[in-house]
Amino acid sequence: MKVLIVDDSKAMRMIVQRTLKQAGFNNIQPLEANNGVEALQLVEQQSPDLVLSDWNMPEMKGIELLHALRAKGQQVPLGFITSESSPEIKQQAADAGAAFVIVKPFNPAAIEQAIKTLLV
Amino acid sequence: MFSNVEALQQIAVDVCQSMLGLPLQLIEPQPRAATPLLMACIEIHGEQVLMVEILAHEDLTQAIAEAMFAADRGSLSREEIRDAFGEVANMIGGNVKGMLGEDANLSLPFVSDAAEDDLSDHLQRISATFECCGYPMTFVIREVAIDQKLNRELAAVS
Repeated sequence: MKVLIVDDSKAMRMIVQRTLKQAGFNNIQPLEANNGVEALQLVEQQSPDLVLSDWNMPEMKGIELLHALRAKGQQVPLGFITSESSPEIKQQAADAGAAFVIVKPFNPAAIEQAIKTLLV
Repeated sequence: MFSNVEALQQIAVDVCQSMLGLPLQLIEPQPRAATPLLMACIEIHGEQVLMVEILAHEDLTQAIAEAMFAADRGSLSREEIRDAFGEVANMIGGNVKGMLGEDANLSLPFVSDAAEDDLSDHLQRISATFECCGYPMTFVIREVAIDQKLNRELAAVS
């Protein structure tokens, strides 16, 4: 299973990978992107099974990435892992078709609950 | 202005203890040390402009980064340490923004060497100081005057 992790923080990309393993997802091939622009390219090239994206990033925000993916006909599930916890952000994400929004800080249980039905 | 000190304390604890595994002990505010300090900042642009700041000794920021990266002691670059410290500010700022109950935008975090505290710079502020790994770490939320905000924007793009 390929999971694309999109975050401008290398430290956070490491934490997401580690938390995925802690949640029991040990057979994941992680891909990494620094922002939405890189993520778009990687989705085209690598066809990941799931995208986990931050919201606020330089170059292209996470919500812009989601819109761009769907505009290109890419239906890969995308969930947000973000420090943005406001109801408005969660509504924007839901309206755009995001699979879920996980708010930082997060734990393995939150990851497991959000993605267990997506990575089967 | 975000004035809930207890909420700020809880957010700091949630981020550092639950996410990073670094225990925090609430302490009295400490005099600013002369030794190298780093400051991680993030702005919240809503009805007011708020600056969320974290001040910590360089050695503590290294410990924070090593916890985030699960890295060996002394193995991280300066950029990686600042990236990790900025991400802590990102999480604190996002949670503070979520509690404001208003439409607001969160900036990207930035990390710099800590400057002298200019009391004329802010209108209102709250703070919480913890001990972490033997060092004090201070979390501050302050309202930024508009001209200072513009000055920081100009500084950020220069």
